[in-house]
Amino acid sequence: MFTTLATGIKPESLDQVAPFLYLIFAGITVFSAWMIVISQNIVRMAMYLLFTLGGVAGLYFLMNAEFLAAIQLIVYAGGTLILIVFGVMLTSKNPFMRLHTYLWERFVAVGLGALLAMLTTIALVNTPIKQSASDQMVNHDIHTIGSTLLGPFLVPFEVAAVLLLVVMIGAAFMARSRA
Amino acid sequence: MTTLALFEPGLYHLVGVSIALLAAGVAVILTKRNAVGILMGVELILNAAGINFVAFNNYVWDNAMDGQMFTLFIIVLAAAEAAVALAIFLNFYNNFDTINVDQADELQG
Amino acid sequence: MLLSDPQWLPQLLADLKLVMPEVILVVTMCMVLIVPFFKKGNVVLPVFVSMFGLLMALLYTQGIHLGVMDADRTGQVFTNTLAIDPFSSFFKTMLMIFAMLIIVQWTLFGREKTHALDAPDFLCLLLGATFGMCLMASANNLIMIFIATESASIPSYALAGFRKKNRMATEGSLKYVLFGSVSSAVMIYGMSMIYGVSGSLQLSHIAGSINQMGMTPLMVVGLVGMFAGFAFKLSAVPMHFWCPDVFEGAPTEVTTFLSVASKSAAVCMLARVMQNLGTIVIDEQVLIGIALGVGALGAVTATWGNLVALHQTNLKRLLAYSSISHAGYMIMGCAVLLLVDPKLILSALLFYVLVYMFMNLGAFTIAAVFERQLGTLNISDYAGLLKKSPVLAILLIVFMLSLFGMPGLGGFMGKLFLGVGLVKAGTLGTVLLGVLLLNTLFSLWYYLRPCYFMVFATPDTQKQLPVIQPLRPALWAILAVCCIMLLWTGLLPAITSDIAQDNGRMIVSSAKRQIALESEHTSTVPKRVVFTVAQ
Repeated sequence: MFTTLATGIKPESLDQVAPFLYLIFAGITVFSAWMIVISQNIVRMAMYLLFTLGGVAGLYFLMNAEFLAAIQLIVYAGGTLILIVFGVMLTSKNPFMRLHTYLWERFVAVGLGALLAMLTTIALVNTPIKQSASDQMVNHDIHTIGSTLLGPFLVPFEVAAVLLLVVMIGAAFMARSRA
Repeated sequence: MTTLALFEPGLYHLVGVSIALLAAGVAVILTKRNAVGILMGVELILNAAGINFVAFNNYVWDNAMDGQMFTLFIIVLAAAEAAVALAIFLNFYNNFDTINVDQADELQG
Repeated sequence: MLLSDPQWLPQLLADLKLVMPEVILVVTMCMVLIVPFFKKGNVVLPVFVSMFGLLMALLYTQGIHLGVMDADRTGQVFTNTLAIDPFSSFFKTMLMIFAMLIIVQWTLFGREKTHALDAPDFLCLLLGATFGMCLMASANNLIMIFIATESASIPSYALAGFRKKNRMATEGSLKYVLFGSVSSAVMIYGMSMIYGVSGSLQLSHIAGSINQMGMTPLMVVGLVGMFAGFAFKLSAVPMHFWCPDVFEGAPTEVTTFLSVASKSAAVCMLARVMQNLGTIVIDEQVLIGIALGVGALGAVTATWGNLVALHQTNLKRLLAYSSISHAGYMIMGCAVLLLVDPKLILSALLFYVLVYMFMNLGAFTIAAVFERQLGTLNISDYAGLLKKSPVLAILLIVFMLSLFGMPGLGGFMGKLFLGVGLVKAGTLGTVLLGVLLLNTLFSLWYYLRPCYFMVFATPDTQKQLPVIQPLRPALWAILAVCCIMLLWTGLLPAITSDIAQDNGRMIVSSAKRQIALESEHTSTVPKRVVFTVAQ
């Protein structure tokens, strides 16, 4: 754990706080995700989504994916979420209005979500997964990420670039005012 | 110390979080009437998938970086999808003065 | 292959030659965006540029296909992310021809003032979607499936809402984007589970891991999630709600494009997944289970589409539900891919897609003419149209009968080849064939209804419909091409089916498949296409 971050700090001491960090990040993530379900106010929902995204970034951090954690914070929490907040502000006359949902609807939805979670959990528990600590574990540093992106993942990388161009054209067309 | 060792993060801890996020996402998609709200539910499911990928990459299949790379692309694609989706919501709002999905019922049959 | 490998650059350049059609499409897209800086408000120039680009890409695809450009390399390129094989090349050729026809159709129909200003945006989005669909046809890897699906879908969302002031179009695109993003999220979650069990993103490795570990519950969950995402692109039944709404609201050119191109690209993607599973997985039980699931999806989709189409009064909605049921037939074909000689089914699918492309193009073009000139899509308003504009009415009857599967027209041969494939697949195939036949019988009713109104019904004297103005020659040309192709494939199917059979082959990387291919080589396959199977 903390392969690259741990320069200067003894890894063992960080291993000791890992359970605490896990509890904190997982708690934030799950709590604010469910607060989105419960909340009736669209701005509050966006705020809770921010906490969820931050918590997920923390979990990536715990899983040796520092680069992903940074990207999650910069692109997701910093970019996509701002986009969503803009969407909220531009498309509601009163952003603080309460969204109306019936109680039975909420119960059915939560029930369905819980059912899905239960099915997935049962599948997970019944599947033998060999957790490995293999010797050939790759180093998750930025150099490996770069050469992987330009190596096996070259085509998806380039296609994502083309896709972003198309998205820009599409979004600009849909949102601009002329006819 | 024993209770703490129980929370030493492992595969099942992380996938558990992911399943909780999945359930929350599905519930959000089913309850919210606001199009932006539904989009938030989608983001929750995407994050759940991302946690899965990184967790499986880190704890099970750690001889390559496939899972982390997939999560990277999920983040990019989520941003792209949100951009187009919000442009379409904005356009819908200009025509209908609302983005409540209940109002989108002129096409029937 | 990593950057440190000295073979990285030569390998990259060699692989690049095989994906040149896609590269040409991207370059064309950029050119279309640059053109307005030189000549603002011109329609002809961007249309010309994009037609030229599509033509170049088409020629290059055929070049790769015939081995002119690069004699001995078709295969899996870029460390197995893409598979360039006869099946995908043939599909790409069809897709590019289709995109060109769509551009012609769009250029001819648009008369608004904004048309010229929007031309680059429209063409760019259309080319972007075509690019994504080309990649869908050769995606050989979970991450490629995901990105290709997204890059085909996201431009489609914008295209569906292209008429921005139109309330129906806006509503259709809103539903499309919401359904699309939810289903793609579910697909990605399924993929994460598949990755968790198998540890790889390669389709062939995933199939291999099913051999090793058996069908674990988590793998089932993952596959169900992934197929749910495919079902959205195919408009298969639990995910079909977007289809009629989007088709009714979107401009007709876009509707035609989505109904044919996006569905058949998804069929190709599904076929490739099934083909990988079918050639590598050994356990019969697992194969039959998957085939049963996918076959049930197809059967339910076909039946549901037909049943709902029975009481449609709007021509475009009727065609939308008919396209749902056609997608169902193609899914049934994909399902039995696991159980029989894949070549039979793959060539039947190619033939079906080819015929379906011309049927739908023709039918939607006429629907667009009626919508613009008569101002109504209501079927009962078309009473007595045979007398007023006989040629259009007869053409629509031809397309409708072909969609139904009248012997002598292309649609019949498509269904026949699919049926032959289904029969060979044991009990499951026979049941699916029964579903296909029953559905064809059902569909006769609603395909004949517009024909009945046009031929026999007496027009309502209260309602005076405007007279149909003479169409532009190019539009007649499109309709004539569709009609001739249907007659040709229906009456003389041998040539087309030979081409389809020549191309009904896919590359799967595994030892077992390699041996099969080599033996195939020495016996039947002419030297036109040479395989090298990676790994």
